[in-house]
Amino acid sequence: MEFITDKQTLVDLNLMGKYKTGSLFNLFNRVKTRGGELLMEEMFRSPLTNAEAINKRTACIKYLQELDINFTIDRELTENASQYITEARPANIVSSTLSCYKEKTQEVLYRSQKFQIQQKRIYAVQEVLLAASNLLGQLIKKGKEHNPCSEMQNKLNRIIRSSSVKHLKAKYPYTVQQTAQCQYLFRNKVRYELEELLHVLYEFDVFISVAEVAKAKGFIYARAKDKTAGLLIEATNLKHPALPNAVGNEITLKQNQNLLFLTGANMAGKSTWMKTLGVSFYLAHMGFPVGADSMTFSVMEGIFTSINVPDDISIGWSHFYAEVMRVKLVAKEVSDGKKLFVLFDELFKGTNVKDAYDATLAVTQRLCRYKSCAFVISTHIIEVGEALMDTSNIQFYFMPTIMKETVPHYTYSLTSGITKDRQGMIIIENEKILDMLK
Amino acid sequence: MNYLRTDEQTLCDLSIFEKPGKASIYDLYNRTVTQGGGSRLASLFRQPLADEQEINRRSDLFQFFSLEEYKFPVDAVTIGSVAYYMDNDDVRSQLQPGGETLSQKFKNMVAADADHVFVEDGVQACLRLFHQLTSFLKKLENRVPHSPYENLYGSLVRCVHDAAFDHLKKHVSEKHETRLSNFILAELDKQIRFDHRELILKLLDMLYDLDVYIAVGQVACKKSFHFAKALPQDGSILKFAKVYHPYVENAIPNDLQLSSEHNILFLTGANMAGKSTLMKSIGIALYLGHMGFPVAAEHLEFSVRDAIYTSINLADNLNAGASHFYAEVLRVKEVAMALSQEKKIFVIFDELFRGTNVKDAYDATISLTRAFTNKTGSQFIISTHIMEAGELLAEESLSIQYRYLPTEMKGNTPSYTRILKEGITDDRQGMIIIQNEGILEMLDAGIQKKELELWNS
Repeated sequence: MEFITDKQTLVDLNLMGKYKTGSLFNLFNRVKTRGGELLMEEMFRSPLTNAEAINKRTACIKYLQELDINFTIDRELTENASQYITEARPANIVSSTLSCYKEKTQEVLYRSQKFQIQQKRIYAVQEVLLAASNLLGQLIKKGKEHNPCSEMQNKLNRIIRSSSVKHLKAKYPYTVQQTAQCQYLFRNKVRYELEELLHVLYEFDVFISVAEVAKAKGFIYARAKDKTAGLLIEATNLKHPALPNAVGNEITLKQNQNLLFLTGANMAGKSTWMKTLGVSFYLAHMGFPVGADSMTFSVMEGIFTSINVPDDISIGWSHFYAEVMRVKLVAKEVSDGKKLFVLFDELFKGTNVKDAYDATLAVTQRLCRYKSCAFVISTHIIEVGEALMDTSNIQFYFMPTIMKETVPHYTYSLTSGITKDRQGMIIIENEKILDMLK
Repeated sequence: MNYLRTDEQTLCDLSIFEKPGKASIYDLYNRTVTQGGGSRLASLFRQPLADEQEINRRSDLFQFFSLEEYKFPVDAVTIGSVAYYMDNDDVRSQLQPGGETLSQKFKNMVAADADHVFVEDGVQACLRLFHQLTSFLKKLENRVPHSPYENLYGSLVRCVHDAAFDHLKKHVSEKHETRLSNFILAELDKQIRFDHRELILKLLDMLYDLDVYIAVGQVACKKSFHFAKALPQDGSILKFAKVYHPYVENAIPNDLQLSSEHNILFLTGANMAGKSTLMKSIGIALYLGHMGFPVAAEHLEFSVRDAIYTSINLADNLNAGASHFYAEVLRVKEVAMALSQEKKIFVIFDELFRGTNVKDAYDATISLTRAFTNKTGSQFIISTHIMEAGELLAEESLSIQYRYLPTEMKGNTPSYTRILKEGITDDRQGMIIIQNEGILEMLDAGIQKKELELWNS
């Protein structure tokens, strides 16, 4: 089953993008190989949807973090090796030998590069094997016998210790005969084993990279649960992983309290908190670490956020209509019985107050009855909160603003209730606009 | 000369210049043939005037060229070649007179020498230019006397008939591309590019101007745009009749008038009723009016302003840490600053303070609008979703006009007349759109289904 999300959500949470500053992918990307990078991208694209798989991956990363493995592998050489083993497959040792002699002759006759290149690539494969056995050595030496990574470790072990690989004595530069032997070995005999080996290495690469980041930033690992007694998400001291010096906050969403109603002045940190929730939830479903003291969550089927919905002028949608269509999309998924985490920032801000009030109220009242879903809704229209006060499964929180004389200060720590803060006029006064007009 | 003050935000709101994937106002008028004309047009767009005599003079000139069908006399290739040719003022590239040696001749037979080709192309283009121009000037002769173009025409004719070009003109012929001997070519090259360089450049300059006049005039003629009338700056009159957005098909025109007694237009209306489009049409017309250009309106009369400020698609700059609201506040501050310097300006604020909570937006809109009423020398158009602010202001007798764009419901679908009406609207289509999309029903049905399942199990 696939994790449900969409492009808007990925953009809102700034998840993907190697070349985007501050993207979560960038945060965790300390991988050493291109293959590892692709694998990590793949993990970002498809978070897991069952608790067992999530916890297994989490355990692997956590285990590797504890071992403190020093994994070194050359990016270029690995790329060369992976290319080499997927090239044309020689039928048997004879054809391999013939083609190597042919290339050698070409080199002598007119300085063809082919033989040289082949030698270099064989060297690359050997280097990768060396890196793998180095890694394996560390895993065995530092680690326990039964550990979360056993499966991956065993795969490495089996391939590296297989007799044909183990007894390979050839050293660069190779003789023609050795070249032919290696070619036949790598491209035919143990071709699939090597592909598997590379894949396991990429996996280790990603996990070790994530573990390094987790260690450097002090992240922790969330616990996934399949069937829980009413718990949806619970976290303490949760922070945005990509923001330095972020202020941590707590959250508990349960089936009978599944909607967080968030208010607060401009710039008080509402959007950041929503992004924190969305990002942490997403990372947790990937089995990746999050910035918190603890986090437990029940595995869900998807996430939708609506934080920076742009109006689509090219298809003639006003901002409001774009928002409505987004709510409709979510409504459809939710009413189909999907278990989702939904975050709406400043719902219906593109319309007049009365409409926004009515619409926010009507939609919130209905959404919160879907008890297997979790919702976070923020709004400027604090009057909606007052009308919702009696609904038992809604929690009210706000981001406070403290005025030091006329300058607003933001604590960024979540407080229970609905805000009465209104700094808008104060900002206008601070800028002395009305004085100018006198 | 005085120029109208504008900024990036205004240019962007009114889409004066190109943005990827968006039609610009500049494109609408850019029917110029020459590259020089195109860039001259762009600089006119970048520097609207703030001097009523200058504006009206320019406007009359454009008008002259809109009365009949005109075509720029010189083709694009010719004038392009001349400009390219004139660009090179390196003496070393000058063609040397004197007979060709045998070996040179032979070389030219095999493949022409690049320098030679360059000069030949340039000289021939000049000859073509003179040819095309002379017949055009003759055609214009009878229409020009006592017209706004008279003076400029005079100097153009003087330039073309300058004695310096007599020799050159001998070689102008009806026939296309008569081959010139190497000797004559070298002689003409020297005259054009070096001896009379200034004169030729002046001629090109005048031709670029002519290109702009014709392009703009013809746009007015083809699109039936009208010319605005600029009034002295100390007045505060702004009169639009049947103004519409030049890019909207079948646009519906509206009338509008602002004066010192009624210097604020308070605009309300539902989403999609056309508030922003109307504000943009007004802004564009006034901007073009300050350039002396024809506008998409039947009539436009305006007292010249010092500056135009708009705030229609204000983007929040999250990278700089400013929220949408703060961006709006800063924009308002800019306007307030100009007003406090006693500048006479025209301001458009679309959906003022939508980035904050309702109470703040309400308070801010009221206090700001009230403050603007004192600035009777400037005009404002303010749109808002918060009609309650309008209701409160309406109770005081202030210099505010209230207009709205109505929505008519046909069954469940809203339709928009896009015609301004007096008053404040409480049209609210938001909920209807939500109902039309069936969102609430969808959610209700989902809950019922779930409850039914629970019941059954």
